[in-house]
Amino acid sequence: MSTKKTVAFRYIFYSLVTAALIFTGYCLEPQESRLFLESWGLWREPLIAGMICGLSSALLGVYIVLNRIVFISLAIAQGASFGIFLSFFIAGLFSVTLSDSPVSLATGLVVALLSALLFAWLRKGRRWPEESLIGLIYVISSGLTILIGDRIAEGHHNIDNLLFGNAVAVGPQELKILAGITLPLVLLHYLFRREFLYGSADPEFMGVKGMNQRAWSLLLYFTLALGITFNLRTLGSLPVFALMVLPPFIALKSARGIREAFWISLLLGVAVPPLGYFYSYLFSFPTGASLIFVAMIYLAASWLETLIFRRKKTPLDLSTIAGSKPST
Amino acid sequence: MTSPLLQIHQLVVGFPDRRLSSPISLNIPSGARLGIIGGNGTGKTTLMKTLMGLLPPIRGQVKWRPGARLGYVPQENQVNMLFPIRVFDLLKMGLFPQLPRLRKTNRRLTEASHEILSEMEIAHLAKSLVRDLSGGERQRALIARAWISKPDVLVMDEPFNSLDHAFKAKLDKIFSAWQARHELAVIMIDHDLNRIINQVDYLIVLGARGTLYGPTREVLTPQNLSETYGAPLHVHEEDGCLQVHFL
Repeated sequence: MSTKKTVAFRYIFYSLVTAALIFTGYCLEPQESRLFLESWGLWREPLIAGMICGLSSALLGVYIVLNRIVFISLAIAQGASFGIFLSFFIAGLFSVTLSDSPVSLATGLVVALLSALLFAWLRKGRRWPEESLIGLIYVISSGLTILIGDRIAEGHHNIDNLLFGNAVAVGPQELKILAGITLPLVLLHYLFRREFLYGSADPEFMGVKGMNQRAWSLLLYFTLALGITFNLRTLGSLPVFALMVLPPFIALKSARGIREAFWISLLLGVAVPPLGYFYSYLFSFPTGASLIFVAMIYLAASWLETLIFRRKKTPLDLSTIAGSKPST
Repeated sequence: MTSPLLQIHQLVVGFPDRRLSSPISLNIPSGARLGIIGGNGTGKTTLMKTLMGLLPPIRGQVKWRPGARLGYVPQENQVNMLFPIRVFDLLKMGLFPQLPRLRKTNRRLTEASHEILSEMEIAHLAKSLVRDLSGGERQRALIARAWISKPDVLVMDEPFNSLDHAFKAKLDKIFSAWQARHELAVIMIDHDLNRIINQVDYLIVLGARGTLYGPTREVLTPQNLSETYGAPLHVHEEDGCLQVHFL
């Protein structure tokens, strides 16, 4: 079967799964479903924001899965958390109230970027396993956050909103900011897709071809940190992690080409958040957990997809995704 | 008179805590063939990577002619096998950065890919995933990737690994044809002494007691090789070819 046909079939399959999820929700709670649609005006911004976050998370997630650094999003999120806490702590020392000031977000972003760059720099030496480096960043950020957390005078509610977002409270202004960050990021990844892909797949060969491997690697991690920090504010830490892992995992599981893997991952990344909100509304689930539940349904469906299309088994060892060295 | 393709001046390779060679000074002209031999762990791959600029030298200089393009066949596959890369995509890596930025591909790429894959006798595998290939098929795909951009220099680290005898003989002829048509220079590491010493014009011999370098017939004495490999051996000429026999 040609790649185009394969992608088409997989698109149709996951579209049917999406339709089935919507239909199931409607059958179980028809009245709530109608109310959800009627109150579309209330959900519009959060849904669109969720889809934008899902798009960028699924795109960036392909790289973190292929590079075997799936926990990097948690480590960078923790770095961002520390940055935000730090800004409130310093503000408190000077009796300044930050509230929703962009200063705290900017500080969080800077620390997230530094965490990503630190990881990229340490990883370059190839002396330490990636998961150890990720664990190092996570533990250090967490420890420092706890140390200064107690000493912050300003309400933790403000900090929680900055850190973990409030998925259903996204307004037009925040949506514009999110779109303003995400769309250039996606465009950057499209324009330089070969640099990022080939540099990840075989950095040594690309170095011989004259590619500045270190610079492109740093840029990739920069985009990871940027995407994670802004998505964190909208969806929260765990849903962002789920969107960076599950759609790429499903896409790569039986992909017969890299383009196919990206398209399927993006489709799932865009579909999961609105369905998550839908089920959250229907059954009063916490939004983040509902989003992860929907992602798990797609994961279960992916095994069904494998059976239906009887994909040829490859030596791909999915257990290596967690961070072990590949077998070649 | 054209400048040398590669100028090596007082080059010492290794790592900060371990030198792997004594100073090497050698000029390689276009179309020449340079072989690197030595026992296990003597630094052959390190030297090759230093020549390509992947590793910094401990001392000395490596200077390529401006604009010289390298094609590289690594010792073993280093492509991350988690990537669902097809053989055709692998060849596109070889053409980087000549690929169109916005379009997927073009006719020139498709024709060049088909041509080189046919030479490697794996045209039928163009749409196969690299991780699905056998060791020999993968090696042929890596050679195709290195060659597709028609480089000035082909740098190959044990390129004949995993290949069957019939294809090894065919590959020798293919390399010779490429050299004749394109004035291709070759830098090669090969454990098959009898093949490499008859194919290269210049030799660098890495050993525990030091580094030898120069035209092949000057460097290749029984005493030099015996000291390099730490074993007695005999070198003789048969039908115009040098033969090494370990005693």
